[in-house]
Amino acid sequence: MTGGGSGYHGRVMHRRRFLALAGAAGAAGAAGLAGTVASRAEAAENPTIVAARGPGDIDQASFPQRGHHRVIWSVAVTDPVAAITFDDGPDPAYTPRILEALDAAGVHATFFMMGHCVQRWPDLAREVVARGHEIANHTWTHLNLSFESPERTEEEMVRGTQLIEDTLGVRCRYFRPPRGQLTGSTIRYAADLGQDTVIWSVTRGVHGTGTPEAVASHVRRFLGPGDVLILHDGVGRAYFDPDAPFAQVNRDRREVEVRALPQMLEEAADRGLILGTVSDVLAVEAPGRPQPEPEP
Amino acid sequence: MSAPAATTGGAGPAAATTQVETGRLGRVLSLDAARGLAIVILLLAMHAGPRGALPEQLKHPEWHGLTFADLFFPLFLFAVGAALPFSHRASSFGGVLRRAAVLTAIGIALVSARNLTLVIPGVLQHIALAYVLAWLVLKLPRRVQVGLCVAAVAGYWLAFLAVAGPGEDPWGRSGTFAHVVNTWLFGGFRTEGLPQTVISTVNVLAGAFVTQLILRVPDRRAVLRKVAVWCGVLVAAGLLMALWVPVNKKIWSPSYTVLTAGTSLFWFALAFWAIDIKGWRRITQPLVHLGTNAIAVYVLVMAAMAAIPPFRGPLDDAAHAVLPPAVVTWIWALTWLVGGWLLCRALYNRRIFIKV
Ligand SMILES: [Zn+2]
Repeated sequence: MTGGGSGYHGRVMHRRRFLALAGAAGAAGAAGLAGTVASRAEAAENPTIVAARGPGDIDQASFPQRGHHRVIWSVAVTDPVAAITFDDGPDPAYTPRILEALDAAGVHATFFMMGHCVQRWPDLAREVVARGHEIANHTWTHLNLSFESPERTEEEMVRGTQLIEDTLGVRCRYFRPPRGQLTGSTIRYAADLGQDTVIWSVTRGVHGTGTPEAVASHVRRFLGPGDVLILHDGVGRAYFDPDAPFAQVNRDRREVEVRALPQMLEEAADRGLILGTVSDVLAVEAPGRPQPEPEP
Repeated sequence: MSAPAATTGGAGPAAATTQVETGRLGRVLSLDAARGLAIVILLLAMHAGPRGALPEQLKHPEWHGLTFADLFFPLFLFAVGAALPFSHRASSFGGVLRRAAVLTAIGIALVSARNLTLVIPGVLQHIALAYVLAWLVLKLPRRVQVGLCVAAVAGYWLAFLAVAGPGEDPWGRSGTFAHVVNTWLFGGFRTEGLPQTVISTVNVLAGAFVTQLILRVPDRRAVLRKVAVWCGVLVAAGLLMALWVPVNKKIWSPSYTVLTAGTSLFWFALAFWAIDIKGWRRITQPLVHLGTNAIAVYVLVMAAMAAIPPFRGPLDDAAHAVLPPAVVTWIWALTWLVGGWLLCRALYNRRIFIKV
């Protein structure tokens, strides 16, 4: 049992210890480390990397004035809160079971919905809202935006936002690009839409289909305060090519994640880790660089 | 934070021209209107930020370039300068320093409150220092004043060239003269930094020169002709300089300095023509209201906006649920503007001019 079982004690120390354990586990060759987690674990083990990431000579004032809209992988927090997020849905095959599990655990999550799915299953999407979860933008049709023009990118992002906001009557505060593919255009249009771009710091971790136990175990070991966990309640591009081999892989992987969810929620609660929406985590963000004055 | 003192019949930089008779011309309302116009655009542009759906021309360029919004902070500085020759309080250096100190203190308090830590540079600080520097220059003989402006622009230009290493862009996003000085002083680049403030004194002086012209030349049409000529000369010079020096507000580049001195003359000439020659007073009255308490309304709006974020989210959500984003942005921006105007009108009608 690495990292599990202990409650949330000292804020900084606990996080360091947790990350160090994660790093040790990574070095020991545990399967399926997500790149972001591995690099964070390295950072925790190697203080010079951390030191090198202190305030540098970055000239902040010469960047575009887009307020505090930013790209978030994880959040420096003052309380033991982590974000749990679901991408690509809603989908009747997965979302209802996820809602049940979340309800049973008393947890609210952020759902990065595809405009396409909201249009296709509007009542299900409304049900997600009705249960108090947070809704965010995951584009219209889940194209890999690395290969799309700025115009197409904008259309995907704006249309996704519109379908969600018009159908559900909520405002999208966050955006997540499909596959986490950050491009210049996605960052720019997200800021224009007033959405923070939220990537993730912890994934299911297990390559291939895996088992619910393996996925839950990975999350137990790597998910700590301030992390953003990505899971799925839909299949992304597979909606447009349901017979492709990757579509079946996607469906199998989603099924495993859904089955792993109750155990993940229970283990997080046992460790004293509070799961919530992206907004919940940002609400306990440690003070960072505040806003400059508007330029006259 | 020291509160601005409300007095009647005061003659602060924001109010001087309504209070002081020039003798030959009566009040130069056009200066108030020009300052009011500057405040209108400044207040609107403050809302062009992240959620803003205002036109691109009301936003500042990301680095090089010129938008409509870029023309109005220089116009505000121009109006500060234009009030200088009228101002009783500007007759002693002690009065000037005291006013600049109060303005700086309010500015530091505002921007520090926003940042939860002590921050020295800021918009009001910029205005205050440029005001003091301009006052000092105006004590010199007139020929020297103009010569000093030309020398300052040339020197500023040379300083950028001197700081850039071989093959480096003297006007780039890092390592320029403005970056080096501001980083040394404040730990990083600042848009309201010291080099930019010093060179923008030229914009303040341009306003003072125009007032001197008005005081010297009795015929309004002759004034207008001269102003129009100088407007043309400065705009042409600024554009010519732009062949070598990018127009850039954030580093207050030499071409930006000269060009906006010219455009400020244009806005002033427009107001002068409409008000002091054509006599269109009713339609320009709201600008005069805003112009006579310009600093006060700017400070109040800045302070209120700094205090509002905790309430803004729910308000925004409610508004966005029923209205398109562009409409919400305009309502938000215009609410501040109209609110500021109503306040200024009430003050104006009671002859209250808040001076700092
Ligand atoms: Zn996705």
